[in-house]
Amino acid sequence: MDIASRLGRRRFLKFCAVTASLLALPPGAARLLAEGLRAGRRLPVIWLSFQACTGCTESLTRSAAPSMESLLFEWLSLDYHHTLQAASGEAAEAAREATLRAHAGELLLVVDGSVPTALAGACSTIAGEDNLSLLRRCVEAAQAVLAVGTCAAFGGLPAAAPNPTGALGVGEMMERGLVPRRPLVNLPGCPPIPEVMSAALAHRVVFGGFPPLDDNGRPLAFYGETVHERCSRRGHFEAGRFAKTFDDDGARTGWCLLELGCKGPLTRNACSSVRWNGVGNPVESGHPCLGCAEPGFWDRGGFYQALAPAALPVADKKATTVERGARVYDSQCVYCHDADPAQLRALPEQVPELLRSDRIRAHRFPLEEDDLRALVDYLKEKR
Amino acid sequence: MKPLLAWVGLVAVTGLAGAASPNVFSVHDLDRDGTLSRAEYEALRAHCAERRGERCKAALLPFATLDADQDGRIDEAELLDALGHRHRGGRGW
Repeated sequence: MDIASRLGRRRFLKFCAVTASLLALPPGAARLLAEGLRAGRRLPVIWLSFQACTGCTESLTRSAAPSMESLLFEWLSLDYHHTLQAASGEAAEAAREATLRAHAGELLLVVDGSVPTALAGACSTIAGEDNLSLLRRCVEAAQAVLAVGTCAAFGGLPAAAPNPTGALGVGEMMERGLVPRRPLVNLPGCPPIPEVMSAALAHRVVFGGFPPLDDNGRPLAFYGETVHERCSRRGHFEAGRFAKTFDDDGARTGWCLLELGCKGPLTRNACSSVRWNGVGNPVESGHPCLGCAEPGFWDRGGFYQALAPAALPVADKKATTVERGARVYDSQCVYCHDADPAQLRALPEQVPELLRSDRIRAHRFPLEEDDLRALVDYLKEKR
Repeated sequence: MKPLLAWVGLVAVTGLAGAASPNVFSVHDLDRDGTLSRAEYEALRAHCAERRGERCKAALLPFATLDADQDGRIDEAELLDALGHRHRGGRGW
């Protein structure tokens, strides 16, 4: 029985369509994904956890329907994961060693947690072997490595100053020659978004490589934009409305959390577009972004310390009224109207009245007055 | 001549019906069924990229985000819900 039969064809195809969409793959890629995953080649995987809180595994296993872990287990052969596997003790270690021997050079290695390199590796051992030694042997046998979570990608909390255990992320260990070099993708986040993990894995299984990456080894499809760029509170940022305390009217109304320490403008992650379980993210829940997907985020200043104005994106400071109008048009109008604003039938000066009139269903959307003025200016310029 | 007249009549009726349809909310709804299919949404994205550049295309929400009930089509309520969610910090309006 293939994966589509086990999961239900409709559910399986939906998953492929969503994953292809999230990865920004070209039209037709969903069909390729479905065919590739249906082909039934189960990729052997060893999942190692080092200095970690198990939050990455929790994120994966607690994702909403369609359950990501059930999908993953259908196309992967997860041969070692010391949190999830039934075996324990010597039997568990034997399973890992058997996989290393049987699938040397072809297995996929998933790592969460950072690796302590100080004190000759004495800070953390598994079955009597220090973490660095175990990682080195597993990387040697791997065709590629996924560093899941900020700790595995960049060191994370264990690497925060003064970093007593000498914790490092996988990429830096490859840079320093502590472990062999292999194709590596970083999926940071504390924890990472489940769909990001499953999409990167599906891409590897079907296409044999990782999607395009940024300078920090993160998939551009998920880490190409900042949390700020697609933030649901972005309109309030543009309008200069900022919550001052966590319990003021602005915070309750959903105003921008920048002054409460939000690191969204400097943090690249898909929280604003993918969301956890499709429901929400920390900013939508009323808490500033901590910047958890960025290297060294623990040492970049207090979580509730507002970013210095100089640190904000230059484009935001220099945004003109017309640029603001263009953003309104791009984010609100193009879903129903021509992408070329010159093709809009209504005259620019008629637009505010039409939008306020409540006569058109899709216009029952209260744009701010500043947004309306900017939109009119933009439409006039484009005529 | 008759086929030509029939075609003209069909186009006129279809056009009028489409223009007056209470269900059509988007010029990108090419089959005028009141929803945006994945193909229509991809065409919208391509249209944005062609006419306005990648920035416009990048500003569009992913199809999966808009298609809340995952039926492969975006209806007006789903679009308004997604835009409202984005605009009002998830509080709707």
